[in-house]
Amino acid sequence: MLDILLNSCTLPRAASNKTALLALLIFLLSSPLLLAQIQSSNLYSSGSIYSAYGIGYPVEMETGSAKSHGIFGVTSVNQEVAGLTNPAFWSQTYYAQGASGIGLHSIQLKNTSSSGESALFEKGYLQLLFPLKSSELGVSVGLYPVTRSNLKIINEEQFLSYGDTVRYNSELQQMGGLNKFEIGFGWKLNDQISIGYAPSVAFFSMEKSEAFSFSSSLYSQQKQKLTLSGAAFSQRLGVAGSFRNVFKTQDKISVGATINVPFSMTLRQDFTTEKEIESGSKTVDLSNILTSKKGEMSLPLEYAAGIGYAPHTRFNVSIEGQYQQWSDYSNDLVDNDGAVMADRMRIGLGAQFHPYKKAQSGFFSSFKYSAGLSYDSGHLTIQEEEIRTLWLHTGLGILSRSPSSIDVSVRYGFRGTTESNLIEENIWAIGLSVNLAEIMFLRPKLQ
Amino acid sequence: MCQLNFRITINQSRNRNYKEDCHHMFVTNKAASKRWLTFSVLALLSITACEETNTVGVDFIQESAIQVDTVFIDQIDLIEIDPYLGQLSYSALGSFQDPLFGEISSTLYFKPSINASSTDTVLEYMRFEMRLHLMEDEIYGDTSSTAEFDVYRIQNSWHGPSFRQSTEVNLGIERIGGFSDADIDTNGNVHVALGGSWDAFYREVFNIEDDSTRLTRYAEEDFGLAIVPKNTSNRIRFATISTSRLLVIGQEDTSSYGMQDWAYNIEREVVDPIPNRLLLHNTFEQVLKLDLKSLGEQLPNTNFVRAELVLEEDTTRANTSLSEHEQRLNVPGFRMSEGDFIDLAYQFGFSDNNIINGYPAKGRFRFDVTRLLNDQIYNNNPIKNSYIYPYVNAGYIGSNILYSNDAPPDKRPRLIIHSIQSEELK
Repeated sequence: MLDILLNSCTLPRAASNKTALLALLIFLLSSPLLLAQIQSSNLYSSGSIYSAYGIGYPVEMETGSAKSHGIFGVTSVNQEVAGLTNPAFWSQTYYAQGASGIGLHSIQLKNTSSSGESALFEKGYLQLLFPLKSSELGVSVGLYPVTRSNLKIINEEQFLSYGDTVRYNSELQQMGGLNKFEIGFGWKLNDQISIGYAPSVAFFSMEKSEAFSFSSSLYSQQKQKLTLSGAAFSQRLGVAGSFRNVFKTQDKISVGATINVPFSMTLRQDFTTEKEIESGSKTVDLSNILTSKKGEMSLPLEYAAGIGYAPHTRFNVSIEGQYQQWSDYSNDLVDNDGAVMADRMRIGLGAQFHPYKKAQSGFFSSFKYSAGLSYDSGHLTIQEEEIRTLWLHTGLGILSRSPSSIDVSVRYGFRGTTESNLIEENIWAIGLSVNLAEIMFLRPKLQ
Repeated sequence: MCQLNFRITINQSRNRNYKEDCHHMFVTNKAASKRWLTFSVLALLSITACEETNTVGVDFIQESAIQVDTVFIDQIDLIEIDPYLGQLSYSALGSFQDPLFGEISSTLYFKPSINASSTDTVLEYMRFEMRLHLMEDEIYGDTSSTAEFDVYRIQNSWHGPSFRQSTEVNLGIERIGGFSDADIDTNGNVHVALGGSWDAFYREVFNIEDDSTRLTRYAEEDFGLAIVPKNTSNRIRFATISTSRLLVIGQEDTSSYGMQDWAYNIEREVVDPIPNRLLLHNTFEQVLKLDLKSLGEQLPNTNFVRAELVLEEDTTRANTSLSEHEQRLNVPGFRMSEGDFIDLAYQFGFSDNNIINGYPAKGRFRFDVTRLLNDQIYNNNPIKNSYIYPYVNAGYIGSNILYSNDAPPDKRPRLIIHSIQSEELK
């Protein structure tokens, strides 16, 4: 992250931003340390409890700017960053861009009888965007998570051994998910319409480890590890339209739609543990006790559409929807733990105000302000309860006169329910996105 | 914690207008820097404010659990081992009519040392006495009675370190001495006057001036003494021969000589078998032999964390079979020896290698055989012969009554397998 910032300015600016860099550096470096303290002794920690199911919880891939006003990035009106969501927008790039984001989730969770906290520091996407032909044809290289499971559960159980109660702790740690490495392009067909295509390699990697420790010295500590991996080809398409001067001069309407083609992946799983033998400890492969070592995973169809309107360059409002057909998801190897995969619907609505685009002084005129609301029906039904999430979004954009920008999004979400002894999560999510942009190819001026 | 580390190289070429922009930014960004700093500090404080509260149960997430499986041991072979009973720490003497395990009688053999050099002489008025040290509390049998013993000369050669139960010992008919264990003093010693032909022989040999002749004659012509319980005795005592002495008592002074060899043997009455039970003694009249290798091949296909072999003791019958004032010595536990052994009696009696201890707890003996099974299953090292027997206990005689493989399921010898029942395997 420091590298990005150091390279984002020319020398004079780099000198001027020392204080800012120092502050941001403190912030970024401090976060993991603080989180480590928070996570140290939680019964359940690290991310959403609902990421335990299936292949993890779906990860939002939208930019910080989109995230800060509740939309998903299918449309782009008054946006500085093309983002990953809609490949069609990659055609519009004029600058070489590098964008990335990180997030911090602090989750307060409760059921009918108790409450707790967990936290997650997660890395987000990485995108490099290059204009092959300025504002007409762009290529995007992206690496981003699609689903993520990141949790630790410490469970206390007991069993009877000849009248003696033997207590044991089982610590379940599940990490990983589906990721994509994608190289795609966007092409501007005409002044209004752009299309994009993004083939990718989807690769799945998840590790589920369980450690058991017993109250009786007769039982030695045990640890077993299940790793799943696989890779497959996937693809998605996007289309975008941009129309100016529709209702009045200088207004703009942006529409967009994307579709993620369903795909299948062959997964392989390995199961290992440590065993005490005569010569010491040995890692042994227990895969033979698995019901199967290989299996198929089918990822569902996903599509999204939206519309945004900007009456002028300093204000825009958007509404977007996304549909993921998780009921078609199947996985031969990963059990859903009693949950039912349900089709997921997301709807987001938000607005942005860009006072800095009008020449005026003052501290509060230097930012981009965003606010929005989104609803997520969730992809899980557990004990006949849908795991829905309602998000309140807000954020600040910190922009310079160059195309580079930083977006800070702050969201508060309500996920799940305490019905059926499930867990309700109240989530504070802070995101930081950095977009660095420079002119890539400079034509020499005619003398 | 995760952290992104990547570098983006930006083209450094710029046109003049952009440089002007940047210069402008240099001025305006001083204010921006302060805003960044303010924001970062606020963000930092907001995170620092996080703290733990109570924990939340997550019982709707199905985790792996410990599963307990039982594999019954259907085949148990019994073998008889001829134990070493020489030069143990404790030597048995006496007899007891055990209502459960049958009558047992034990004879103690010993041979005193003789002076190795001709510095001492046994004079006519001097007499011989055996100071026999007995354990005061360790009594097998009737604690309220007394035991009486006679001492006879042994007629044939024997050797303590190689002395086995089957070693034949012939006794003379001449009574050399006798005593009652009621005569034990406060130091745990009984003084036994030794006389007769043994007195004459020992005195003669003792006074031979030539060391070689003395030692040779003593080795070749005397085979020691035996302490034989009288029929009236109904308890077994245990002597520590290493601390017992032959006393040569004069008018004013007394010399003492240690024991150069000792052993004991037992005669046990054969009792009728008890249905569904196994009578095991730490003198190895019966030893269990198991085919753990086959058992390991029958284990459920799980990730087992502990495998233990369990033997159940019929404590009710053991505890109720004795009359008032009668007692048995506890066997501190059972042992399992696994391997290919040349001399089973030595392995069972003296070796500490290839041993798994089965500690007693609430009437059962549990052997941790996890490592053995791990070795067979995961290290291509098949389990060899496995024997189970009561701990020798340095010479103390002890017995157990165990449930056999015909007993009810909750008492039958079995393997208990604790394994992790993973969600992936269900």
